Amino acid sequence: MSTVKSAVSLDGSILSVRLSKHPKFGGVFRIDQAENRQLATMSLAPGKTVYGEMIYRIDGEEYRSWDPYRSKLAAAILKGLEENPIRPGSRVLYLGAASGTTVSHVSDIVGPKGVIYAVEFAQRSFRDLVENVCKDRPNIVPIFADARFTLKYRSLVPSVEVLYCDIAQQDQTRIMVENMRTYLKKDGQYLLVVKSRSIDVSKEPADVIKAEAAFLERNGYTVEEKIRLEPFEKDHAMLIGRKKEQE
Amino acid sequence: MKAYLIESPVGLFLIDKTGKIVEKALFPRNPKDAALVFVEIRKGVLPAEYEDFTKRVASLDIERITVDNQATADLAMTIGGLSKVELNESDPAINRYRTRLSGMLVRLQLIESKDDYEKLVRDVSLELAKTAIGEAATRRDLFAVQTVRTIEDLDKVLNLLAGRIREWYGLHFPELDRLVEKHDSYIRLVQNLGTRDNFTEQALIDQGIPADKSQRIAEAAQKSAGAELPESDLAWLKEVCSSVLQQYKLREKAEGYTDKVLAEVAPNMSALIGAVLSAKIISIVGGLEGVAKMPASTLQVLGAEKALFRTITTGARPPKHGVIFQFAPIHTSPRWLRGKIARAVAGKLAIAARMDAYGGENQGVKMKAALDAKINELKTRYPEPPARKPGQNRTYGPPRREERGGRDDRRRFGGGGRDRRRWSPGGSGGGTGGGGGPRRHDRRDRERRQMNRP
Ligand SMILES: C[S@@+](CC[C@H](N)C(=O)[O-])C[C@H]1O[C@@H](n2cnc3c(N)ncnc32)[C@H](O)[C@@H]1O
Repeated sequence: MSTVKSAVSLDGSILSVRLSKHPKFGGVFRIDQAENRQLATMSLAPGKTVYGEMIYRIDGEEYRSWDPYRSKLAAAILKGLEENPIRPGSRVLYLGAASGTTVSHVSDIVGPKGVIYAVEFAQRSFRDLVENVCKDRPNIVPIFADARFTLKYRSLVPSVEVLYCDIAQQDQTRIMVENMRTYLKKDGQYLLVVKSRSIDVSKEPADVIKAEAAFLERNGYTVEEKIRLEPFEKDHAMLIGRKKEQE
Repeated sequence: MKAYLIESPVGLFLIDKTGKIVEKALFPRNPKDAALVFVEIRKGVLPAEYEDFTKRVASLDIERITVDNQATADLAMTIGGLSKVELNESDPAINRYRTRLSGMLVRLQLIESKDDYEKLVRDVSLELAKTAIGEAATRRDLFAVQTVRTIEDLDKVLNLLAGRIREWYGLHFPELDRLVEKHDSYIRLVQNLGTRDNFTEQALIDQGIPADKSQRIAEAAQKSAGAELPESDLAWLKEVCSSVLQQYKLREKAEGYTDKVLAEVAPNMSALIGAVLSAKIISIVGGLEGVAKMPASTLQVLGAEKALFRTITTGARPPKHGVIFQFAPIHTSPRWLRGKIARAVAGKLAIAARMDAYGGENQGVKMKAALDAKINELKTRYPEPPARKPGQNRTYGPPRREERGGRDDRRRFGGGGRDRRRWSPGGSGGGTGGGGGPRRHDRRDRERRQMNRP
């Protein structure tokens, strides 16, 4: 399915790599270079790196390596994610965009037909997000807001297919549910990063995950996948699900 | 009739029950101008050029306007002749109209395509992002000011209460006062050990006091000249101690919080001189922008206004440093170097403040390294006090009060001071600027108390 190609890295050296589409996920690629196998996305902003990732130029396209130690979505993919709700063309409401590490790859994946509404409330991260990521990528709408005040960005965000939440707050699941009520389409899906330490240090991570999943179920959402992100992120998990069918 | 009012980066739209746009105010299509208008709209204010929109709506005979957020509700209130504005954050009809808005605008040929609408939303968001970046910076620094003022208030209260406890327990074990300098250590010992016969060497070591110090305290306890302390009195004193120790915990937390806020508001300044001291400087000036506008020479003597004033009125020696004296590398250095180091610190600090205020990058770590190098260079270049010039009667005695940023500050600062006792249990580690608990209470007060000793 994949053939050996020659790739040019940003510093001009020529490497021999194997490029293949990810067997399951649109917009996601694999670049194998000798022993080194990595995830990658096709760059929407050629010539720019966001967080020091590798760039490969192959057959006239540019690919950015996607580091699972820096991005929890990449970690989830490597840890056996079954279904990635984020597809080419998706509209994504992304809570906790930080300086845009993951957002930049999501931007590559959804491509020019998709949109990411990237919410972040820390001023410094937001500034980096705007300066280093949004300016080069027309499919990101940066929103400086607190995700707790869901309605503050009502006039900028339409209904979306995907809600991605990584805000490391104790009550983040509740915050995500509120956002889903306002913004998630009927058949939309969510991805929630659970960092058990920021929810309850005294509890076992597995118990924290269980409690968060139960909260989602109670509020009318299914939990279809629970993926532990070790060894890429300690005590982190990703939950994926959707709105339950109305009885 | 009933209607719904929706704001969007494209304009304001009044929609009736059937989903028809019955009135509209279109914003400029240039994203910059649109963002300016939109910012006002989101504050609930309708810019003057859209006044006729309100007039037209007022003439429509509407009983009730439904909106889904507070700002739009405020705006709707300004429309004359309305009997009712209803705020419903999850109104299903508004939700529906919001989702359909771009389609409706295309049909009415107010915009070319849905893509165009999205592009406009994105461009306006980018513009909003830029203003938000500016506005947020000024707002957050005011929080920093409040947190550091809380620390200062706590220090005042703690200093008073600790003085009270020392005086009180001093009736029973007066010698301990001199032997334990740090307030929180003193109070913890009283709380944990109780009467002085429990101050055995082993017990003190268990409390984290170094062996030699423990021995001295234990000896003093045995020979103490203080009065007996009945159990009932001790119980009440302990209760006071425990509540004061709680306040120390609160102070520690307040510092942690300051660290957090400052890491956002002024990462460069904090990396250079520590969060608490940075916050104090922002607090004295009243805001980060103000600090950024100051020349280094002003920053150097900030907080020493009294001394500066004396220079002007009496021609006395100008102060060499103000509140930045609390920065450990200044006050722990030999006296003849302090002015020079203070100048170096102030120079770097001025640059850091500008980077923080005007959105420069994060260079704090680099700047700190450069500053450390500069300080070391000064130390090697001037290892000895300068020779006294003939006729000049200048001594290197204790600096005058104002040189140190005012008496109050001297009493309050902790973190790595000249006469800081390092053995204290639970004391915070070195760190730069701020940090630690309040200094001991007034020395004169202590001497007076000792003279009054029974
Ligand atoms: C763990 S980081 C996100 C990292 C990012 N998702 C990535 O992978 O590149 C969490 C972010 O959420 C932001 N955050 C926390 N609470 C928030 C809130 N209530 N509203 C908006 N952003 C929030 C924090 O400022 C921080 O930047």
